[in-house]
Amino acid sequence: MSSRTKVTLRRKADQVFARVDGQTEEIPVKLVWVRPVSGREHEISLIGPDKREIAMIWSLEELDPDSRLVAEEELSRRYLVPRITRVFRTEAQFGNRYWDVATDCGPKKFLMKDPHSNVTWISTDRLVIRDTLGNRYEIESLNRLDARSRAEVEKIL
Amino acid sequence: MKLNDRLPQVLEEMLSATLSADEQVRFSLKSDLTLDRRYGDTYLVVTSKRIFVLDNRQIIRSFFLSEIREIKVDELFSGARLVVVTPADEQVLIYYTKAFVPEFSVLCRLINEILRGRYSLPPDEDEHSYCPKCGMPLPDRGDRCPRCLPRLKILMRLLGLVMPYRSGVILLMTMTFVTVFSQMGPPFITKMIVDDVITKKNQQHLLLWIGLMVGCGLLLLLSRLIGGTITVWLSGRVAADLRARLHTALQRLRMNYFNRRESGEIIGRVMHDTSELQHFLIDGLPYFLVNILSFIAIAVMLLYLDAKLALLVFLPVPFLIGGGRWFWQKLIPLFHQHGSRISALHSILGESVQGIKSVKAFSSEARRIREFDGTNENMFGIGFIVEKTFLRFSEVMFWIMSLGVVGVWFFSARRIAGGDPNLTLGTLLAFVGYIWLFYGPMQWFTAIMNWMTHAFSGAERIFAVFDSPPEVYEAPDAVSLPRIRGDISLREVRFSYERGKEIIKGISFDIRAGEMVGLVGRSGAGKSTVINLICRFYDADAGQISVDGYPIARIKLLQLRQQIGMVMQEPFLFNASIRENIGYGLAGAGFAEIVAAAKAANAHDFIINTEDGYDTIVGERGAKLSSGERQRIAIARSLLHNPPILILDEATSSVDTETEKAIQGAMANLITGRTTIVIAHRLSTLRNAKKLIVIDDGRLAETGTHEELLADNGIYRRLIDMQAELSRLKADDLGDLT
Repeated sequence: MSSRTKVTLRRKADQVFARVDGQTEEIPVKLVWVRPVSGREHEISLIGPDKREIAMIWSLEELDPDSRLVAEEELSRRYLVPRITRVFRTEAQFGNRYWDVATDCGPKKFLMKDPHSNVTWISTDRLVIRDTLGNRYEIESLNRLDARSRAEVEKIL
Repeated sequence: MKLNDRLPQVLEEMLSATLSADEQVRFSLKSDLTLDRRYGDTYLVVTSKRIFVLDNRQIIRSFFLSEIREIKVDELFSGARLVVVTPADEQVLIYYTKAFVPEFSVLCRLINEILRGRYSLPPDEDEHSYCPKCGMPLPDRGDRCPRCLPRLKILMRLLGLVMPYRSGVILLMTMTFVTVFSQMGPPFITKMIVDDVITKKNQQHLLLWIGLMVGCGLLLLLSRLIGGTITVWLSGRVAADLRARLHTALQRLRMNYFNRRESGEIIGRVMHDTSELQHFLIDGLPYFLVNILSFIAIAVMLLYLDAKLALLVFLPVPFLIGGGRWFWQKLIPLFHQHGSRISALHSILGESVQGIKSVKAFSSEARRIREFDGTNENMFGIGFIVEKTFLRFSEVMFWIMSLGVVGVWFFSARRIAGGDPNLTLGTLLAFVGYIWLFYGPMQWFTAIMNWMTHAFSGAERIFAVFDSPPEVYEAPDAVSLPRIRGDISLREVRFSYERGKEIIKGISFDIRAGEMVGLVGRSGAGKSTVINLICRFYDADAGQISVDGYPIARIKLLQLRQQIGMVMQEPFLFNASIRENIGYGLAGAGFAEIVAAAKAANAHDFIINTEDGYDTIVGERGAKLSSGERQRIAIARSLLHNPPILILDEATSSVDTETEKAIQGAMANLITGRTTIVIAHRLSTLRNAKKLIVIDDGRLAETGTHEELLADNGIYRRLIDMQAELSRLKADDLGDLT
């Protein structure tokens, strides 16, 4: 973590360009969280057009304010993980679990296979769920859900 | 694949007002995300001139095809987006979740083809991610919706399975009636003994009643014995039939069925689903039938004996059934939790045992122990709750039932003591006898219904396998080619395992009979897929593959495959003896032929040096042999097979020089006189090839001889240089050691 690369980011239309360490050339980059499930909001990697890493950023705080805004905006576009705010109903049937939930992106019904391989507990309170299609959903805090929602979650997990 | 989703009326009108007179809509596709990535309908419409993006109210983006350079799929976390590339910049066209990945990938390819002037429509397959009927997500794309199971249809199909044994079924039904009848006897006889013998102090009919009682007991014994035996036989029979049919069906299914599923899931289907069904047929169904029948019979009997008292008995029925329902709804989630804890424990245990070396090497015993103990305690906790809930339930139910009995005693005792001539002591005793028979099964009705749903969904999964399309072994206009010469030609072949992810993007080449050709390319370039297509493990999406001038779709499938030999990179050996494994190449091969093949494959010497010689059992997947030995066994198997076309997938794993030489020699023997396609990794093999075909990203990149391609300075040159570099490094390492 000793030598950190200075990176500035700029958005042009829907593309993000990076300039590394004061080089004159701007490179179109893809921004990814390095550990998207267990540690979003931590390290970021900038990937160039040839799929090689151009730079790794250990924290958003390393970026200047403008670049940071660009990064935050782009990452929120790339990571489509709705946060579950309420759980209306869950049901276990034939080895599948149906979920009927409200998220910050709108209401959603989805289906999950066994919890053992499709639920990642980030902490005892926070979890990421993967549905049968591969979409992810997050419950940021189980304890902050209302009691009914919590009961519905506990019914099938 | 359907690429013509209907737009809502408003949008439809808005769009047609925008389109110019000579502009037609070609495709329209709905996505489930809006541009600000919330759930909502967004439409992508492609016309002959433009691309439009519409939300629920209006057109939000549009591009002229003439200003677009290309369309890209940009894969995101938990979804994807289409990006339009113009000379000026890149802009997002539409976002979608993983539910629509196949559709939009295909649409993306189509638009790019349109931009280049020529496009071919994908096959019209209808595979949904959501149930078209109830809108719920499906367990797997293209699966049937488990919530919309046609129960009656499944029952009819299950009945169809027992039809061959209909005499057994009829006997079973008869025995069920007899069981119910003989269960009903004793309480009624009790009544007769009390009223007719005890009360009247008249022993005249006593022997008759006692005889009848013994008779009822005997009848019950016999009917249960016979009925039970038939049930066990029938359900075992049906399950065995199902397993056999399933296995047969699985062997004949197309390869793409196996791609999409894990082997564990398929094996589970054969073993678990069939045994679940068998259990239900043995225990559930007879219990259900007997109890439904006796429920009705007892109700009639009670009403006949005394209508008022009968109504009293019926009073707790709603509570019993309702309680049963409530209880099961509580218990099922607990069962699931318990089940998932068990499987978690299984996998921890499995890893602890299989990975014991790694555990010890990293001194992580304590960590493993903690992990196991935690899950184990968890499982104990839930197991305890399950049992406790069970216990409470059955005790409470028992108490409610005994309340019914108390009620009967109270009211009838009052009536008898009050001198009611219509109610006798015998009737009272008969009531008490029937009441337990009547209440007992009621609490389990919901359980049985649940059980039935489970068994039925298992049956449905089994039937789904029966209904999956098998391979077409013989086209109606199939030609018979008992001895293939070995000319192979590919024309503009396209193929994708998954809709939207094209692996082979239009490949053409020719191989003449007897030629040895090397197939070269980076890993993932599509070499193995080309082989899969030539063997017709999959059918190409477009283009044509022919052997000896006939399209392979028209050659009898078994004949085609019999004449293509394969030595795979990791050859699959069956858990049998070496002799049997080599013999697998040719049905009915004599031992002398097997030995000859083993000698030609340079395998004979190592075989005879093992303790059991040709009788050595190779272990699961040949685990007891080294990789070089497995390769040579596989070569011997192919030599015995003696096919006119041979496919060799060279092993990448390094073996020692001596083994390498043995394998090379064996291969040289194998190749002689056949059309050979080698997926080559070694320079030495490549040099001997008549022609090299270089595949890159699903396309034909280069073709020519080793020398020609080296001179061309292309992909092949780079691969060779890299390999040379690698062997130089290895040589250096060796140099350092000496």
